[in-house]
Amino acid sequence: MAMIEIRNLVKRYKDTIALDHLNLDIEEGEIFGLLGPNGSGKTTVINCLLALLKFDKGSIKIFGEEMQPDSYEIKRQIGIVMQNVAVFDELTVSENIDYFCGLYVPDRAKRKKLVEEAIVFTGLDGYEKKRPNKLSGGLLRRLNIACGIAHKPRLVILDEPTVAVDPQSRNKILEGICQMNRQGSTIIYTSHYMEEVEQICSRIAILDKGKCLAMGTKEELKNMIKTGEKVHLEGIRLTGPQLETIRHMPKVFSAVYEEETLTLRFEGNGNHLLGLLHYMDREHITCGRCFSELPTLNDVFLEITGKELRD
Amino acid sequence: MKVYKGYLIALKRNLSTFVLYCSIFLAVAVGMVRLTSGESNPGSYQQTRLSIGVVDRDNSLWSKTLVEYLEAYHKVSSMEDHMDTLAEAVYSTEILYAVIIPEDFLGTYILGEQPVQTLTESGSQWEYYVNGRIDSFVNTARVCLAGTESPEEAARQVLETAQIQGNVVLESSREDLAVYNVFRFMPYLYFSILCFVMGMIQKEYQNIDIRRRLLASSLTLKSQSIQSLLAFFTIGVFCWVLCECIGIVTCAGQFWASPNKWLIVLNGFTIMCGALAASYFVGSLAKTAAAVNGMANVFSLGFCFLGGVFVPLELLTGAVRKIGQFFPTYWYAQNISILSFNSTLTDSLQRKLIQGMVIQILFAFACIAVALAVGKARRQEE
Amino acid sequence: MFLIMKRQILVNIREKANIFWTMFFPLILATLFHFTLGGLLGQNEMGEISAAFVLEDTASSAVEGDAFFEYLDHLDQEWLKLTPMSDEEARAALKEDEILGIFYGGRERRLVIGENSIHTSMLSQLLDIYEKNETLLNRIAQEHPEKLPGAAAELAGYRASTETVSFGGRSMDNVQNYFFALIAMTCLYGSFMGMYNTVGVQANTSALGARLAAGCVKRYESITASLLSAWIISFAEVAVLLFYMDVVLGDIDLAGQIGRILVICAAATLYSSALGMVIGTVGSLSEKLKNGLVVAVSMTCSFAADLMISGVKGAIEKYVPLINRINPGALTTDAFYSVLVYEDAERYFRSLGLLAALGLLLLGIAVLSMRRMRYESI
Repeated sequence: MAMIEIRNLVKRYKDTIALDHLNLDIEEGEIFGLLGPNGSGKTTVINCLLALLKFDKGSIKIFGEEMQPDSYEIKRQIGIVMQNVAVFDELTVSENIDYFCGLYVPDRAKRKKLVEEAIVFTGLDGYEKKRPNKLSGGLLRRLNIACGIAHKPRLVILDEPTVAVDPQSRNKILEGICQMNRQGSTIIYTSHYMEEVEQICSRIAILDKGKCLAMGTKEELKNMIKTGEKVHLEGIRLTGPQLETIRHMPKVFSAVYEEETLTLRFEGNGNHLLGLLHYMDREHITCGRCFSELPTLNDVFLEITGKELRD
Repeated sequence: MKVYKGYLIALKRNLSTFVLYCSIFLAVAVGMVRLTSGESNPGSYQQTRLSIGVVDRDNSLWSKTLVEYLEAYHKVSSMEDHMDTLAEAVYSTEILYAVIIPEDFLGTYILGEQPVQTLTESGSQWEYYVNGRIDSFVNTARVCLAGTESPEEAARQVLETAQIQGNVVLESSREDLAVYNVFRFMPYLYFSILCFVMGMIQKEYQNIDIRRRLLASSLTLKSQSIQSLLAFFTIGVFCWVLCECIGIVTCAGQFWASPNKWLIVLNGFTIMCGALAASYFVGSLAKTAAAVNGMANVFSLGFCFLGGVFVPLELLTGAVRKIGQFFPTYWYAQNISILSFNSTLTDSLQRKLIQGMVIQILFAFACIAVALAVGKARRQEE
Repeated sequence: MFLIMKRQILVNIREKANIFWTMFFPLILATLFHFTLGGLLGQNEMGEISAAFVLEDTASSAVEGDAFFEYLDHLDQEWLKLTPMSDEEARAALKEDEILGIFYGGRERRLVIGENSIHTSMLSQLLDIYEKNETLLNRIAQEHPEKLPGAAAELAGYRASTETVSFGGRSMDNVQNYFFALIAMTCLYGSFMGMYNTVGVQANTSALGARLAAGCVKRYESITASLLSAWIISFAEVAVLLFYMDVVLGDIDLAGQIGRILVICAAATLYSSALGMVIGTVGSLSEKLKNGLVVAVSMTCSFAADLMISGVKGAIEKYVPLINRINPGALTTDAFYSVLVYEDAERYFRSLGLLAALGLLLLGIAVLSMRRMRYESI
């Protein structure tokens, strides 16, 4: 049985549908990515999951039980990192972490150890006595995370934790998430940065306009679409018949030749660059630069919705 | 003149907020003026009439005579016979004095030795004042009872004595109470409005980014400071004209009749300078809007309370008067009192007047000097 | 729950603006009140009145022997300080405000004063009584000469015949009410704390609230914690103010009444905290707007309790007494009055009961609207 089961979830805000019959299954031990553009319903799913929002239809089960506002036993095992930094400006770094950890762990001695671990884990050592308004953006995000995960929850929900964070802090955060996962936490990760999701998530659901468009591992997702390898050849001079020959090569479904640059798209799996180079060698065609790209989640999103993820 | 214009634009942009605050301060000031200016100067002698409550438990000829007798001197109202009602009425100053006319008023109290119970603020002037009147009644009644045939005749005679009044002459020196009461509150208006409004604007200019941008420009620090002071001065003068006009309108008749009217307005100008300098100080020091708000309130309330603006100087105790002398409001209040209560200014009064104005101006310079020094120190520290 | 409370209190105390307005501002006002209204406190107290006596148009310049002077001199009124002077001296003294009036004896008795005030009225009252007695005796001598000795004897036995009722030596000075109103205002400021703390635990009003709601803290615990922390802090602030006003400044005298006064303050701060909580739960207004609302409500209540101008509460009592029964400011000053000015147990318990009951009512409303945990939108 899945750790989290979401069935037919519908949430309306007056006239707009935020979630449209959403179904999700999240297994224990995975890093599950919720990918979608801004306003696609990622945060709404999270809020429904935490029973903070009313929804119109559907059911949510966590750890096999129906999630209710007073399901304190379930909540005890969840850690949440909100999209907005939610910490007290008047408390120091360690006091903040201690406070939020204290919502889950009443035992003081045990908490002290957990807080120290969380500080080391998020790399906030040296800043314990500082107030949040003295921290840089990246450190503040890390504090936000530390507050959510200090009690070592079984399920960690991170809602866009890397918004407006410098690359160094981002890498640190992503590494940390993988480490938590290795230590046994299941992770739900929402983002509109496909690179991050691709980098760390074991399974991904693509959301748009409150619907789940596709779900699976990244390979599965990429297999769902027609586009496979993409090959770019720059500084290439082709005659008309040569271009026609290339167009009719196996698996090629699109060839665009403009300003001495050729872009080829191949169907399905497999690499086709070598075959192409062989042909060019035979025909004595030279080129300046050539490279091959495997499909990205952006391609998946593009092909499913017809628009770019970053729109 | 970019900096100069910037201030005026900032003022214009926040006009609605400022109008709102100005009207609040104005309402408070007008309320205070109305509260304190109950007395008027009729020009001839008038005996002070107090509100007196009477409880008549006796309901006899003599109790009624006492009530009628008191009515000749005071505003008398009949009260419920409840101690707590009486106490509350006295406490809330609805009445200042209550007398309970007991049963058997004639036997036990007029002819006997028992005193009549009264209720008022113990040790107060009203206690002595009305007690004297009631004593006089009781004694006169005894004299009349001894000197006439019947009680009715005695009572009539007692009442007739109420018509007798000594010859009292009021040698009036000039007293412009209305002018005094209205213009005494001016510092509150200046300090609250200027500290709040100018403090907010000046704080904006203290914003690090704006300051760095200005520092990076070709303007010299000196020219920046001069321009900002000039902008302050412009707005201050505007505020001065506005507030003094409001003051004049409030008591137009007395103001135009006063021989010292232009000195009063000049005195207003000096305190405006003091308030303006204080606002420059507040704006240079405060870092957040909340801090401006807090400082403006503390400055305006503190200066006005301790400087004899809210409570006349004569009522301040010695220690407070000494502390008050450090505030420009004290000298303002002293000047206003000189100007309102003297028609001719003697040499010593004139000297006092000029001294007061000079001190107000000196205060302004001191404030600006400190603010500029703080500003300079801050620039270097960043 | 204690952890939430502890943190909430810490957060409230470290929030500078909050502490400035709810604690230091009342302390500053109390100090200012002390120095200025302190002068007013004794304003109505009877002091000494100086007057001059000038003898005119008589052969001898010795005032002794003049009947009017003898009368004034033997009045035995401790407040009158009478000095015989020459006319020029007296006029100069009057101009310099050294004396308040000049009694002229001799052929034409009169009183010359420089201003209309209760003090000069008292001087004129003395003249009146003298004239009155003289007229009276003349009249009796004419109408009933046989009774003149008796009447004259009565007149000689002039005595005070009044006695002021005192309430255990407590002052009836109305200026005290400003101090009571200040305490009431400080109690009312508890609503700020109630509002902040409520906004902080609701998912739909702040991100922190959402985090708290997502945690496994029971709802009733977080509500109770936010109320208790607000209540404790505002009560502590009022206690500090009371201590300052009683011990340091000495403007109010709590001797022997501390228990009852603290009970009032506890009830008043409960009321205010609950009021703040209700405002905190109202709709989805921004915190800034709610702050404005709290300022407006607390200042209106203070105004109606005579903080700025005295007489407002009395006028309300006359026309819409109901307002005084629900305004926490008026209820607090009422309760203070019934303890410190005029002992009135009924009124004390009525005010206390109303404060507590209305506080609990508001608390109920706040809890009902906070009990919800799932929101339509966040």
